[in-house]
Amino acid sequence: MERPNADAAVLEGVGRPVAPLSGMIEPPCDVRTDELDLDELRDYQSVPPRQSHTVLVRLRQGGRLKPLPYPLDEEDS
Amino acid sequence: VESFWDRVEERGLRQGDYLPGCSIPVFGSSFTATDDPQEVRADRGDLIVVTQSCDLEQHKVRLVATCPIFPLAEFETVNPAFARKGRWNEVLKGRVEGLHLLASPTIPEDNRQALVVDFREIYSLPHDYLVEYASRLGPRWRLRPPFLEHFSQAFARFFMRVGLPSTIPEFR
Repeated sequence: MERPNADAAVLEGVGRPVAPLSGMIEPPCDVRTDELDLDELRDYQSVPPRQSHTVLVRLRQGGRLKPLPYPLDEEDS
Repeated sequence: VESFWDRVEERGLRQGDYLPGCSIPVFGSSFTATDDPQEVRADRGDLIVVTQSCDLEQHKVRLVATCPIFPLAEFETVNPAFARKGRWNEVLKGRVEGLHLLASPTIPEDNRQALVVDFREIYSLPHDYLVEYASRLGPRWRLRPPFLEHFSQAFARFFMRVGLPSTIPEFR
């Protein structure tokens, strides 16, 4: 008789929400992704920004040389 | 489906705070420290705080670690493989370690409205900037227990994972 693999059962549970049990999002058992597809999923690309703008930075005077990652106000420029 | 999020309106930041539309400075390859003012690109993105709440509460951090968070449809435009049937279930089960799914703050029962966090990109932004920005947002969403701890654990698991050069052949 084949014994259930306890380790596999534990690993299968990794990443699932731990609580609450009632109302937990349970994935529908439709498609089982094979390992090849899983590699493709893990190789995902970063999503580019929806919007970018330009800020002006300058070195802070006096102290250590650190660029200011803030947009400069008019009175600062 | 129980709500993953609380609606809060306070200045203090906590782990799991959802901050849409933050500015993220991105230095180009040609950036150098000179006396002259320089232009730097700043991306706008939706972020979620990953720094531990206890560090934030005790003002131990000058910079706050955040990760980008996206609607599924936006993520799928760049990664169409995820649009295929059943693929998000693999993320839901924790099999794609860099990604973590969170239910929609407003329609948690609709999994297509869920949000995905990308742990591979971490932005450390000034604490003061994020506090001011969050206070200007007005009411905002904050992950609630135990979904917060589950999120935090997934982030930790992403960093603690170990790749082996080889392993025992799979049992078939």
